[in-house]
Order: sequence, then C-alpha cells, then structure tokens
Amino acid sequence: MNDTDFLHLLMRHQDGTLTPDELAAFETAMRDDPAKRQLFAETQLRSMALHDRFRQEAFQSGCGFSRTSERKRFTWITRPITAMAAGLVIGLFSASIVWAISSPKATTERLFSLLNGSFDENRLERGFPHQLGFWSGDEAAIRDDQLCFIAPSSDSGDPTGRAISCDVFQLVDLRPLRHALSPEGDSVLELSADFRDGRAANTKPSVSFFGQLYLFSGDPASLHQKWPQSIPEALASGSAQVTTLGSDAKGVRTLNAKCLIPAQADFAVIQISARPNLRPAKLDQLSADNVKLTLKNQPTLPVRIVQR
Amino acid sequence: MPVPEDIAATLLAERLPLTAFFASVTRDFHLAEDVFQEMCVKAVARADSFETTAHLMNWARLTGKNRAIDILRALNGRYVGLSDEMLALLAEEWPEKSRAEAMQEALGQCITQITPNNREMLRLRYFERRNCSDVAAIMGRKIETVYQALARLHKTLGDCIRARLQTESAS
Repeated sequence: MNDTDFLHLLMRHQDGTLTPDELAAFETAMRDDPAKRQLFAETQLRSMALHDRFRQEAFQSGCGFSRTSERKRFTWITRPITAMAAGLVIGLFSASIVWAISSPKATTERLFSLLNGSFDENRLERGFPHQLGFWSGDEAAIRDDQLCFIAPSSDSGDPTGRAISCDVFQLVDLRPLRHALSPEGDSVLELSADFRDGRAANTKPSVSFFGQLYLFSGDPASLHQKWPQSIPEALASGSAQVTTLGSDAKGVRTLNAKCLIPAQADFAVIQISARPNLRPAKLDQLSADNVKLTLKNQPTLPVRIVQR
Repeated sequence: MPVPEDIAATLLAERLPLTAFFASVTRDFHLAEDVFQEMCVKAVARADSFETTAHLMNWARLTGKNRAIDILRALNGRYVGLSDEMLALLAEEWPEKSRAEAMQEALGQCITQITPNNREMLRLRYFERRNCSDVAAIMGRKIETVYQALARLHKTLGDCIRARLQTESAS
C-alpha cells in the first residue's frame, strides 16, 4: 500500500467509514511498516493541530482576543463549565502554570423566538422555510406532540441532489437578541433537541440524528432560493450528532449544538435531521422533541493557560 | 516522584500529542479534548502513584485510551476502531511535545499556502465536526472526492512541514 492509498484510508478511518475488511488492511499496513505508523501519528497530530488552529481563529475573531506575538505562550481552549471545574482542580495544584479562569458570570436565557419546539401545534410545511417561526422541511409529521421523520428528500434548492437525510428546519430571528449579547462577543447560542429511535434494539441500518444551527446576516426570506449552497456563507455554525441502532437502555438522546454569535447575525437556521446510514431506507419510529434554543453569555471556557 | 504541579505541567505541555492519540480512538477531536480533561483530573488526584514522567505518560495514554473506548461504547453501544494491540504499538512510538511544537509552528506557515476552498474544507472537517458526507454536501462534491482532497491536503501539508523543519535544522 503506497502512502497515497494509506492516507485515503486514514481519512476514512477518521470519518468512521472503514469496513471491517478495510480496517483490517489498514492495521496490517501499520503493523508491517513502521513508516506507516509514523505517517499515521504525524497525520493525527496535524489534524489535532488544525483543530486547535481553527478554534483559536474562531475565538480570536469572535471574542476580540489579540494573538500574542510570543509563540507558545498562550493556548486558548473552549470548554464547558463542568470542565472548567476540572481546570480549577489542576490549577489549585499548579505553581508553575496558572489556569486563569475568566469571571464565571454565566447567564442563560431560553429563547422563545424558536416556536413550537415541543410540537404542540400541528403545523409543518414542506420544503425549506420561506419565513420565520415555523417548522418546514422534508417528509415528516407531527404526531403525539413529537416530530416524526418519515422520508429523506433532496434539497429544494438542489432537486437533482441525492436524498440523504430527512431534514426539518426553522428560521429564527436573532435581531431582538442584540441587546442581550455579551459586549465581549462571547455569547453562545445553544440548540438542544431530544431524539428517539423507537425501533427494536440493534435494528439496521444505523441512523444518525443531527442538531445543527447556522447563523446568517441578511434577509431570511430569500435563503430558500439557494439552500444548501448558501451554507458556506454562514457567519457561524454548530453541529451535534448521535448514531443509534434502535432503542437501548439510554432511551432518548439529547443533542446540544452551539456556536458563538457574531454581532452581525440577523437570523439562525435551525436544522434537525435523521439520516439512515444505508440508503434507501424507510424512516420508522424516529422522532424528535423538546427543541430549545438558549442564549448563554460566557458559558464556555475562557481558560487561559499561561506558562510562566 | 513528580509532585502535582509537575504532573499538571507535563500533561499540559503534552496536550497536543495526547489529544491526537485519543482522537485516534474517538475519531472526534472535541471528544478527545474531553478525554484529556478527565484524564488530567484523574492524574492529579493520584499524583503520588507516579514514579517518573515516563510512567505518567504511559499511564495517561492508557487511561485516556480506555476512557475514550468507554465513551464510544456508551454513545454507540459498541466500539469499532483500531485494536488494542495496534493502539499499544502506536502509543510506544507516539510523538511527544518537542515534535508537536515544531510541527505546529511549521503548520502555521504551510497553511497559508493552500487555497481558500481547501482551507474551508479543513475547517469544516476539523473544527466544525462535519463528517465527510456533510462536507461533500456543503461543498457540492462527491464524498470520494472529499476523501481524496483531504488525503492530498495532508500530503501537501506534511511535505511542506518536513521541508521547513529540515531547512530550520540545517540553518
């Protein structure tokens, strides 16, 4: 196996799509060749460094932090508050390193501009929404106060595209929030949704549920004309996913996706989806409920590691 | 025997290589960071059990790997990924801080040489947690094209980083 083929398999390994046979071949290549193990380690390290770099850029642009000219001096990490507590534990013991934790004046506000998040009202339209405040998307239904996914469809803006997942959207106006945003620019919008796979345990194919949010500036009424091609124009976005194989002891899965809110964001696209991981497949007993949108000021990290 | 502050300092200095190793199990870079945090707290709590820095690092890799597998089992009901034997082999040879720092520095230069489109692909994949299917949908490409493009980008960046490191060491 040459390096190009190996890297191709490594990209699929990172993506979790190697078949058992391919995974075995991938391992054999590394077992037999130390150079392949080195290539694997270098690529993993580089991937993690890319993750770090893009996150630093996001925080520097989102929070107005200035980048230090002294390399290796500061590292910014985004962590939830629970993890900040962990940072404190270490910080308490550390003399040569300080984990400086910014003032934990976190505020949380449930946003009621996302409407019908509990699916009490039986209003659901087809296609990408043209206006704010209601659910619309692929073939789905509201039953028993839940959103039931029925069938994947191609996007209305790309009708020739493949039907990969059943997506339901809502456009949410963010302009009324501007007064509530943190002046430091570190306000975070968090999407939370419950997903239920009601099929028998270990039913195939597996299904991935997604909660995604995209923040845009401009006119929400025109976005449907070029969705999903307009996704790269999003000012910020967040995503969370979980894969299930029917019901299990965990029952309902709650996903939380979050992103920083740029000051110029006018509206958010909320997307909840179910994607069968083998197509075509009927979507049966897959549902969502309790979709909530929350504004958090200073909910994430700012943990600054200062090497003295 | 390292004291707690040495343990914290060592683990923080080794954060990038350790999280990269954990990501070999989780295949999710955000999750790998959560594993790192948990492992750090455990390490400090049992500071008196480490005899040397090498002992600490071996323990950190093993503990983080096991925790990552536990999390995946809890999330997905099972773990599918590299075998224990392979992870142990990789752990023995895993790069440490000095190589990671040099690589990061060179990466900062090399990434300026790629096109905005390729940079966006890397950002979607490694920062926004998009899987390659999503990246393909967002960028209007086929998934196989995304795999090939990512592999090619890693090769380009790897070649650039190696060349820069060689130039630096020669000068």
